[in-house]
Amino acid sequence: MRLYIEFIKNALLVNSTYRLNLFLRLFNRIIGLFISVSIWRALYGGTSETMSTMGSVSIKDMIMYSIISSAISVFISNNVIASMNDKIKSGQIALDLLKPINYKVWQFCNVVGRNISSVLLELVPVLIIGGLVFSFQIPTVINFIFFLIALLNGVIINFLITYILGILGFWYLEVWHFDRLLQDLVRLFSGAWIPLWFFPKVLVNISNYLPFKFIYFAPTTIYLSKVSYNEALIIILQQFIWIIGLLLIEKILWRKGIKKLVIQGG
Amino acid sequence: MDKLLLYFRYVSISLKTSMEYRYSFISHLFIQVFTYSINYLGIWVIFNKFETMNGWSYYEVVFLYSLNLLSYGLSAMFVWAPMRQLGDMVQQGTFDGILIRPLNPFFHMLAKNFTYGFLGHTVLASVVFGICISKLGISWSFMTIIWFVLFIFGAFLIQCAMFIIGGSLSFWFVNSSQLVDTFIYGIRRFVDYPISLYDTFIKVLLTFIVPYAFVNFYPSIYFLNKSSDTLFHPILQYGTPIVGILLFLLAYKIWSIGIKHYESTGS
Repeated sequence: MRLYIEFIKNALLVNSTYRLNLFLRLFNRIIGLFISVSIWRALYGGTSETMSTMGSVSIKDMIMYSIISSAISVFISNNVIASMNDKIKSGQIALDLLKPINYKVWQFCNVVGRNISSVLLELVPVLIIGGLVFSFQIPTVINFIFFLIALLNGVIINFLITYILGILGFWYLEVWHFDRLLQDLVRLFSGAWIPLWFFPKVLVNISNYLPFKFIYFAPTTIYLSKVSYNEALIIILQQFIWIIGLLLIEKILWRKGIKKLVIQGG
Repeated sequence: MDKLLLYFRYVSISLKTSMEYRYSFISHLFIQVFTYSINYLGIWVIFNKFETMNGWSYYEVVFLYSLNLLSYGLSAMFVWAPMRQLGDMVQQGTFDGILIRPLNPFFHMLAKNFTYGFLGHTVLASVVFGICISKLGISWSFMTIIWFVLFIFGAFLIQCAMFIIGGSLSFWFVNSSQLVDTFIYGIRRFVDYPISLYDTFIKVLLTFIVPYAFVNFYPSIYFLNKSSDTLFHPILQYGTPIVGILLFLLAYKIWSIGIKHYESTGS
């Protein structure tokens, strides 16, 4: 356990060293936030509310939705796929596998460390700017607790998906293709850009079979109290089911992938 | 004329190289088309729920979006890869190899690095653009066709110029690709939608400082007859070709100053 805490610390330090990268990511996030708020305002026109599949949604809800979405994105961008791909291609992974550590937990520690440093350097600025320029909605304490649990589960689901795609690198060396496809699917089907409550039925049905909505949409609806406590519990339960399912897929693929692993040179 | 022939020789060599890796080539195209199809799908989802965006209809916004994507795809085929490589070449010192050839370095870099990777963007944008034009019932006359060609050409030059200015920064700041990417791709995101929906500061920024609005917004004002969305002055809707030429000349000037700067460092 102490070992893994050291890994987390290490990732935290590495991430905070690349200040320029952090600054650039922050810049992009703030541009994205301003664009989406401007768009929702333009779409709402003069009206303050519109009907959706989850009841009436006000322009204030939409502004808060955009702020939470950019806040969640701070925790979602990880480099698991790229880092695993580099290691498989260079053969470095052989050395990592020799170490007496659980590879998956180690990768997850990197993500956690990165996220902790991002809280201060990326999340806080986004929230301050969001709070200063737009107005904030504060949820009830219970909703906030549910939100935090759902958010954590979402981060884990996102990590497992990227980790599974990283494992596919054992078979297919151009994994960045999957990375791009994943980002595209997440952008639309997670609700990061457009809330699923505005989706037509066909796309809602598709998104129900995908894990992506549990990354952005589910935590945000809980924060905005668009679901009851019971529904929130069901969402969290569904997240756990997805986590278990993804863990199973990961175990099977990892076992097959390790056998398949051929280190080229090195 | 000789240069043009030489350029085509280079391009045909690069096509042959791409074709050697046919699988990689095709999967690359597929991924580009997929990414932008998702963006189009998103716009469709929005307009499935809302009727207008600040008075702009679904096909009008898609027209605007496609004009940006089309000119981006076209320009990126010519200048994306050379400008991306420039940073690495300056860093590793391999740019010296370009300077000792009996060819204009700018021409040589462009000819050597033509990229088919952006064919996906270009084809997809052209198809969607065609659909928009027929759905919007734009009436064509001799004048509109002339303007259309000039606008596409101007937009192409603006997008090229942005890449060239960004790439030339490597002469001063060695590897600046990340910084450039963030500014080019970040700021360009504003013009995916009509800029009339942003605050004055953004409108000024995109018109007078980083003139991406001339890529698609001002031409759309002309083509879609959106006189209600006129910003600053109605004359700006004809500005794209002139802004394109001026910006491209400026970009070439910055490149030339950059090369002189590079020589003087003697790395």
